[in-house]
Amino acid sequence: MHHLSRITFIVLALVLTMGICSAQAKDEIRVSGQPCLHGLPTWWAIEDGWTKDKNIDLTYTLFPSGAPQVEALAADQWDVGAMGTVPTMMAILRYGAKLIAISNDESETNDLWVRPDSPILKTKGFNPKYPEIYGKPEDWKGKKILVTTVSTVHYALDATLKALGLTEKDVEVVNIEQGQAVTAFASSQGDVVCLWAPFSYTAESKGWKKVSSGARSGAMIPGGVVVRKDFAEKHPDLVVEWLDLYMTALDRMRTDKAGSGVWLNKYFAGYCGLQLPESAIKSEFELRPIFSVEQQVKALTAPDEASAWMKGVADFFAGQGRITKADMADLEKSNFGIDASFMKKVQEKRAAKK
Amino acid sequence: MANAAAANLKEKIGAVFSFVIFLALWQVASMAVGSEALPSPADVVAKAQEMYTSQIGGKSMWMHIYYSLRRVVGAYLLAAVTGIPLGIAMGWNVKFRKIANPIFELLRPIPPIAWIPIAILWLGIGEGPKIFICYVGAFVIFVMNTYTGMRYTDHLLIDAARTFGATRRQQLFNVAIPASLPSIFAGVQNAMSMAWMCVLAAELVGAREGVGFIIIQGMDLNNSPMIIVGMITIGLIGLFLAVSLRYLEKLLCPWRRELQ
Amino acid sequence: MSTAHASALEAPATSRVKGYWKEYNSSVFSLLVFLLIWELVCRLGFISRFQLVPPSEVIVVMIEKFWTAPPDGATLFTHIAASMTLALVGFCAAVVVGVPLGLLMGWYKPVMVLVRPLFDAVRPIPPIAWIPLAILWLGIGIEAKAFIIWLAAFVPCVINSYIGIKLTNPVLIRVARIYGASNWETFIKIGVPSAVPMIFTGLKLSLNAAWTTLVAAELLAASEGLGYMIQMGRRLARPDIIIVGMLTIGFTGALMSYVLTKIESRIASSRRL
Repeated sequence: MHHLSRITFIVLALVLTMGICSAQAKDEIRVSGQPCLHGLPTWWAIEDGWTKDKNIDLTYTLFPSGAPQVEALAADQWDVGAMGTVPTMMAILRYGAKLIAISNDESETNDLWVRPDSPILKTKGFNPKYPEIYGKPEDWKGKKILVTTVSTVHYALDATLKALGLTEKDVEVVNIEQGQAVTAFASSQGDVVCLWAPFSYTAESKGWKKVSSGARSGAMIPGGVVVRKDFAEKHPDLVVEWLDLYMTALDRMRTDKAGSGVWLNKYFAGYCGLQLPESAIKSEFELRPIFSVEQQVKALTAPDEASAWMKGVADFFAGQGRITKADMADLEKSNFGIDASFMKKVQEKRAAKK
Repeated sequence: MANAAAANLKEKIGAVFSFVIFLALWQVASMAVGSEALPSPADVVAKAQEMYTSQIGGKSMWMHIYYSLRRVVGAYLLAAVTGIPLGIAMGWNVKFRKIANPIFELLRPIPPIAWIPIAILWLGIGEGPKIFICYVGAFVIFVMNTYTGMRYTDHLLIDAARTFGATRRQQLFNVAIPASLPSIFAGVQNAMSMAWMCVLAAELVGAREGVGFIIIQGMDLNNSPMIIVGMITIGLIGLFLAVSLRYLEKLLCPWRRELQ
Repeated sequence: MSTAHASALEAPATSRVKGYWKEYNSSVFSLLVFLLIWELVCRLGFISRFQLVPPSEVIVVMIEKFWTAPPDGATLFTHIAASMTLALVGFCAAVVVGVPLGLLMGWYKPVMVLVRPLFDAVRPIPPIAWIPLAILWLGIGIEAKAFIIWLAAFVPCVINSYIGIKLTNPVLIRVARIYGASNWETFIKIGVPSAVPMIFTGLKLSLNAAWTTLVAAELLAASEGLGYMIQMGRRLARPDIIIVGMLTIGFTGALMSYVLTKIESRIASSRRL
């Protein structure tokens, strides 16, 4: 009995201290990200102490890819985060997440590569509308293409084939994960390999040649910044506060590439355990256009930008039978989860400061 | 005695000899196909030296090993505490067996790696899902071995105990469980190797530390020497765990020495 | 149990059904209770809808998957067939290599001394870790995937054949020797047959291992199969597809163990006669 009361006491004390701690603590925002350029801002803000004089407390969780990140969203494990277009769309479709910003334009870093001796390299600009795509349709026909299916680079491949007047039936598509695709292509499997950064930097270093990309084939691939449905409804002010920090980082990346590069390298090597050559860090900023607050507001509100980009991806998935007609209708009804209100508030806040 | 020592020495020489042959074959193969396809032993040693003296993802190799071990040992203990009683209950109580066995049989073939999405959905992204993945692997082995041991307990033993007036409880704790100990002990060993083998799958959940993380990073960076160093590290630690568990068993249960 | 089963075989069809029912009613009951609890946990809101799909929805999706290919690109039967083929190829290769190796290790000391250390060193390495090397050596076709399965299935084949032949009754060996049999003859005619029961247990464990390594193997460039189905379910954030994949692996695996156990007991009883 004596024992029991002691345990009760300890438990009570614990609960009380926890209560006091949480009462004193700043508002917590749980941020998720990936070992990628768009994961840097929050980590940067934490490491560089940007939140010291602010009433928010950021925690950052790293995810290896989009699928576990979306699963963790379903489990209520994070509030805001940045990820690729496909997980963004799935988070919006299945869990009602909101798209509140475009982290960067990933169209050029979703690219298609061949070996230097490939016949595809002989011609360029077969379709004058797409002058940067290599190869004639005959060169592409029957080629074995390594691609991570149901991904943005699959979308880029589809756009490339369409630009050449082909469909997936004219080539042999092999589903493979990114890391494995590099290994397989290096051991002379397949004729074309579809990669995204940072895997494309490995391709470049191996002397493979880029024959097309999302940008070259007119497939716009926006990186998404999303907020959990509940969190957006309950704490819109916190979302704005965090988004302000995120945009501060993006602004620095736009204006000070060298200084941001140092941080990106720290993030990759020191935090994610991803050792990349210096040239790759440089390419990260060169190949990924980043939008300012004004550009973001325009992109999120103009009917021919964010919603059109998302629709392009959604149409591709619907065409592949990956999402149903009902899913498509849901997406269109919610305007692909796009919510410009947070970005507008950031804009107002900054205008007021001036 | 001298004979046994000689046999022991012979075995050791054989082991060394076999590794030398293996390394020689590896070297020849790597020269034949190029170090791109198969890094040579020298490449791997150089890489290992580099990895063990520098930091990967802000942590030393030893820290990575520590994190993996922590996950595995946690999962292992949890699996032992839940798996052995379940196995005993399934083996002892017919009604319970009839209820639990079909569900167990259905869930048993589902490999730990297939549980990853569910683990994230239920337990989030911290240590929970990683421990859960290793737990699934070890738990199945614990249950299977305990249950098999209980089921194959010689009925004569139990009948004899009953004749001598042992209560049902005594029959269980003094006869059936001790009789199934050999099988349970086999489970204790196998479950450890299983839990350790699951560490790579567990760290696929999304980790920034651990031996599995090293291999995953090697896969992503297309760095075969790094992968091989990770594989060898996993292999050696697995071996170390198995040996130390065998030693621990001898220490804790001296009577087992006579059984062997 | 076995006598009840034997009489059920001889009895007319209706009572045979009754016999089966008697044998399995508790299993059916227990699975139903399991499903009911699962359904209730979901319906009563103990766990969020996003975290666990109720079985009623899983069953609907499963039935749909019998003839619809989207969203993962193939019907359930195609996935099962692809996975079965893969598992069986890996399993057969493991048997062909593992059983003789285990037997030789048990019989010939030098083989044992040379192979055992390597075997022990390679064993703890998880099959997934071999994926990059498998790609380098074998490409991205079925060979590489089967290799991953082979690695897992190979281990129980070796261990059980090894133990099996080690347990050969030494009296039998001595008798054979006295009658002038060579070492090879003794091995083939005495050692191997006496190891058969242990080998069979090994095959069962090996098939289990092959089946449970499926998901790992299908991480390697698969475009159909149950592991691939789970992978697609993750990419498309469809927990229902994931659970259908998991349960299909469970059902098929349980069914395979069951069939093997039946075959084993048939063989055991025919040997006794």
